[in-house]
Amino acid sequence: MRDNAQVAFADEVGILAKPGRFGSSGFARFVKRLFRDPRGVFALSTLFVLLVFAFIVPLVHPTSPFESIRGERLLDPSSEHWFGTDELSRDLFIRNAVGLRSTLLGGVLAVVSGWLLGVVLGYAAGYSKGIVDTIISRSMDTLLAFPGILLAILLIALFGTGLGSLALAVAIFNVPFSTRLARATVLRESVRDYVLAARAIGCSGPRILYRHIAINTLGVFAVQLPISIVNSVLIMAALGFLGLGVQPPNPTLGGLLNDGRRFMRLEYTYLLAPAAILALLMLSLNFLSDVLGEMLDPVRRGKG
Amino acid sequence: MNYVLARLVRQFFPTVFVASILIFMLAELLPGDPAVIALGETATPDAVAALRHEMGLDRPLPERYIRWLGSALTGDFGRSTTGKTVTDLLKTTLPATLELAFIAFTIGNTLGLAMGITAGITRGKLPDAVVGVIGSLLIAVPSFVAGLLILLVFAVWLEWFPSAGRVPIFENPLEALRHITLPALALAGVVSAVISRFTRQSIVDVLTNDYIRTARAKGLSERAVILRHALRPSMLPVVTIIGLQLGGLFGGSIVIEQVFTWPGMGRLLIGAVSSKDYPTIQAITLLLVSTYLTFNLLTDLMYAWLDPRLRASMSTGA
Repeated sequence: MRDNAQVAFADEVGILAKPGRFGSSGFARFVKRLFRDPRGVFALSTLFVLLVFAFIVPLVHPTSPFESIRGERLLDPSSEHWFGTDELSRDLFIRNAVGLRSTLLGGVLAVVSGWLLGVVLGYAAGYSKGIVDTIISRSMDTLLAFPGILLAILLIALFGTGLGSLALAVAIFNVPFSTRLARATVLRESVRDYVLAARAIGCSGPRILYRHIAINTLGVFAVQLPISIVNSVLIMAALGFLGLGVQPPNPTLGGLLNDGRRFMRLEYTYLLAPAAILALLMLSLNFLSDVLGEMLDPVRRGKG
Repeated sequence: MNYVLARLVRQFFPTVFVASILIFMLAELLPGDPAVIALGETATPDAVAALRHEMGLDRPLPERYIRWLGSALTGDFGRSTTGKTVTDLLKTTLPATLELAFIAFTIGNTLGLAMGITAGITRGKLPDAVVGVIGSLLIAVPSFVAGLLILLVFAVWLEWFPSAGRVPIFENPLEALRHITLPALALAGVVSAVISRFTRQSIVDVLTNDYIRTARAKGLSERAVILRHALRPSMLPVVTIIGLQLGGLFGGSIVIEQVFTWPGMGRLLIGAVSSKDYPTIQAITLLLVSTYLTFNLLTDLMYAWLDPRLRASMSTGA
């Protein structure tokens, strides 16, 4: 065990010593290390199955997620309907697949846009300091004063329902976290020698931020990103469950959980299927972020 | 003392103030005229104008904000669109939420401490690994999904517990307990996982101290070493994060209340959002935000009290 850790550590130092050479062999080694950890194996294989389910199944499945089949209301799972049917006689297997797809797409869209905005704000705050920093930091403190899902609920109340406003609400939910992280990295990095050197040869502020600081701190964001995706997908699903997400007939995981909750006494797979999918998705994303974090941070790997 | 003042003046009050403006402005930004919503679409323009005047909607924004905040501070949040006063609505729902959060808090901390201590003193052995796996599961699976799953198993399949509702504790204690068990467990899961991880790490850290080695060297039994020398100092950092958990529980209970149809503030809030009941949304949000910020403040102060180094660095302005 100890030897393995040391080998992995030497391996990693090797990679770190050659920045920018993260080519195909580096990527292969990276994936190989992920597979060395049982959590990595679980996470990657589960994610693979879920992604196939969400993105391939809707393309090849013969049934439509909106099609009602006469006389087939709230059926048990069968060879024809793997997850049974819902109260409007629609096939639940395909509805879960499409629901997972829209929740994943919405979550990733929200994370990407929230992070882009947050990084820009955080860089602006950390680099300019002074009044700009104060305004941005205090605004973020205010947004963070709304615990957990509350901010997203209020934003939904403001923007109305629908996949677009849902993604927007979750994107804004992500902004304070990414802003804080970006600001902290800039503050820490801007006193480093390479930044001073870049400034000495006359680089402009944006160029230093983008060409020097951003490139050198990608690792910090890489670790944080899976956690953000976890939180965003979770908030999306919770809002859907609260009935504040996408309007019917479009399926989302949260909406399916809500409907499944109503009919759980008649047909339990209606609730069990989306709950199990969401639980597996969260587990694998969490494991992935744990393993990634330990791989990129030798200090954390040493503990335990 | 200086630190306490600085933290209050520079962070707590400004944040509460700005948040309260945001909460007030929310109703302004929300689509739809509250007077029209209260009277219905068929109301005559005269009736709407009269109600707007009665509700104070025709006055300038800053004046309305000060009036709103002033009456909110005295416990008057105005009238909900259901016709009742918001204070009346809160009187029935706030105790339900507090009860749920308090019981979940107790269960979560008890379980978390037990798990964390077990794992910490058996570091690297089987119990430690088992607690680690349980903790990862509890952190990874969102509490409302876990809630739905235990609802399915214990209320629908096994029928050990009721699936919905609340019974006041003084009316029928046994039934009250049966109703609160599942929602409290669902809410407690994450708390116990966080506390357990923190406790384990703290005990592991404390056990590396020289005085622990001394205690062992002078021949004390392992039991005495842990009970008398390790446990108390390792609890200090844990105490500080317990406060943060309570703040988060109020946010988490919004969704859990929906899962178990628990008649608390969370359900009231969701209903208010769907029916565009501004005064109720504002009141609940203001309550949740100020509670959350207060617990964060208390946690920070506790940290400073326990760790004077932090106090010194904070007062020099960071």
